[in-house]
Amino acid sequence: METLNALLAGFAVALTPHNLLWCLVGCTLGTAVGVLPGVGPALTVALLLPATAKLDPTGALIMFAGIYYGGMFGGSTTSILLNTPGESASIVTAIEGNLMAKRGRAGPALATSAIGSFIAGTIATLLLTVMAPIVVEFALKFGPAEYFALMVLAFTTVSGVLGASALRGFTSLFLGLAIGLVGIDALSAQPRFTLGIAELLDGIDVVVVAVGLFAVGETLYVAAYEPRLTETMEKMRGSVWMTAEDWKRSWKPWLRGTAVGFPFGSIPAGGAEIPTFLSYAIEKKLSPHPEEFGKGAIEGVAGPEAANNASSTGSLVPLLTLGLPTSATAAIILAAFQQYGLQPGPQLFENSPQLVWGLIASLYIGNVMLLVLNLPLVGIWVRLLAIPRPLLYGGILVFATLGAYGLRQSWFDLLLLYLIGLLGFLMRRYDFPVAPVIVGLILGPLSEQQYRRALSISQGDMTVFVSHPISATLLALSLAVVFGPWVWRRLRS
Amino acid sequence: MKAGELLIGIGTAGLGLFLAAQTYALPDAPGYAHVGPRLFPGLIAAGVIACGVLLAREAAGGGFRKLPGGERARLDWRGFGWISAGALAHMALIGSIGFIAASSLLFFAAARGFGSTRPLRDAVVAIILSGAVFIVFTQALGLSLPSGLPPPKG
Repeated sequence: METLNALLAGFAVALTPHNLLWCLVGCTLGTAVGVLPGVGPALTVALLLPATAKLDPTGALIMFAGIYYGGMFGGSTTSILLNTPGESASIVTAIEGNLMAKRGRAGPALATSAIGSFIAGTIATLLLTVMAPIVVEFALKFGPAEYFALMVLAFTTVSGVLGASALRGFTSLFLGLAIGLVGIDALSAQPRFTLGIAELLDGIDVVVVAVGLFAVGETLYVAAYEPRLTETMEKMRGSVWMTAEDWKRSWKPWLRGTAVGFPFGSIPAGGAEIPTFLSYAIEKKLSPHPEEFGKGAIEGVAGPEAANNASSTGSLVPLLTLGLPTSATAAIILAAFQQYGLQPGPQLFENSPQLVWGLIASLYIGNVMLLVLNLPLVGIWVRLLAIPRPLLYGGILVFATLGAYGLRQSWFDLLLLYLIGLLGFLMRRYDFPVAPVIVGLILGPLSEQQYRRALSISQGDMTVFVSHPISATLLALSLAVVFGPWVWRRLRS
Repeated sequence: MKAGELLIGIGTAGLGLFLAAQTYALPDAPGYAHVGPRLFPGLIAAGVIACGVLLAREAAGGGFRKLPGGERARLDWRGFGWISAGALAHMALIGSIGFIAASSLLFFAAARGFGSTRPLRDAVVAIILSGAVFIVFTQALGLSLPSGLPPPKG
């Protein structure tokens, strides 16, 4: 009952014309950047941080959330028509979706992914609404030791579970943690790792790091390795509407995809890739037409698309209730909260219920907007794919430098942006994941705070982390994530 | 043995050693709680060194694990060079020639880097985009960007 009242109050916030407009802007931008290859929601939110510092936090965060899940909707369009996933979470969609498009069934493929995303997003938002107050209740009992352990778990899952190599994931994580150290130490007020450069006293801004890695690094990589790559775009032929048969074959995968995606998003296991692969495997197994897989089976689009949307909404549970980001975009949205002096977590639900519940209510509205934006209006987004690559990447660089320069109008940030871009180029070349850098950078300083707080409460007694049952469990889980696969291999051989 | 990968491993370990040296140089003033400012950075430095060593070991023993397969095209230094030159020129010039001119230059250079064969089109799009971005971000969003015009007299 309490939750329902809070949600209704949230709708009162989200339905003001002002906030509806921000929601629409966010969903539109999100769809656009989801469609465009080379740009994603993490980059877009980072670029907008300096320009939105003076806006009303509720409106700005509603827009950022719209960009976040709008990107998931838009990414599927690119995967289906171009076979180049606009987003890592739509890699699987590209498999069957593009084959459907090749067989002239681009319309139903787009429709099943848009409707599936809508259904998954709405169910996941309902689950978020129900679960958030429960997690908050639980999290109120957490002390610094528990928070520190929780962050360690997030670090290990984001770095160790995703990607091809846990070692490269952890290298990325430690790099992000190291970048996060630069600046003035919050507790001792001493400058550290600044090399005596005055510009580094404030630390290295997340905008510069995210934009450098995602935009500059990516552009350098594409220019160096595939400057003249030409992609063939599948034509949209026939109707975008699904036949009765398509509906019959889609609804179960939608629900199953949601069931797989939401839990993966909401435990700090991060990323929407794993649930999409899982959903694809499940659908392949359960389909009455397994022979169609590999030739364009609609179940192979419906399931994974629902899974990635449910998982991205699910990842708002740890973000809002615990302040724990489990993906690069979530980490940057956390930075957006910090920009307004807000810290997501149980206290946010108590101190700013208007903002949190307004944000949650906006998710319901945004899902409806996205369905309209993506289904009848899909033709507009398809045109974005026709932008020639020299112009697309030229534009990306203009916005990237604008984002870094907009912070404090300093050429130093542009130099830093280029250097981090070079780092991003190398990381891309040698397949180091980027998300752990961003999560480490944002969560590193917070985890250091909790670490020191826990130790001051225990008067320097390190056993505090293992004597509290919750933190001990979380740390044990982290150890299992790091060493589990290695032990498993040893045991098998 | 992969030279590039080995260099990355060694570079990472080197960065870790540098962090460790910087950490050691921090003034150590343990508070009443015995948690000095060195502890956390020290842990991170150790982590970076460990990752660097393990990466170098992988590189020396047959290369990084599970790199994405497939033949990679040869590195095209032209594309890389155009974009680097554009970014550095933009950095050096934005204060003096202003946002619109510097961004147009960067856009044009990037288009060259991607092998565009239509310089006129690129230049026109560059100027229109930079101009539009300048107006939207300074007027609507209140960001301050250098116009490149001399400051008004008086």
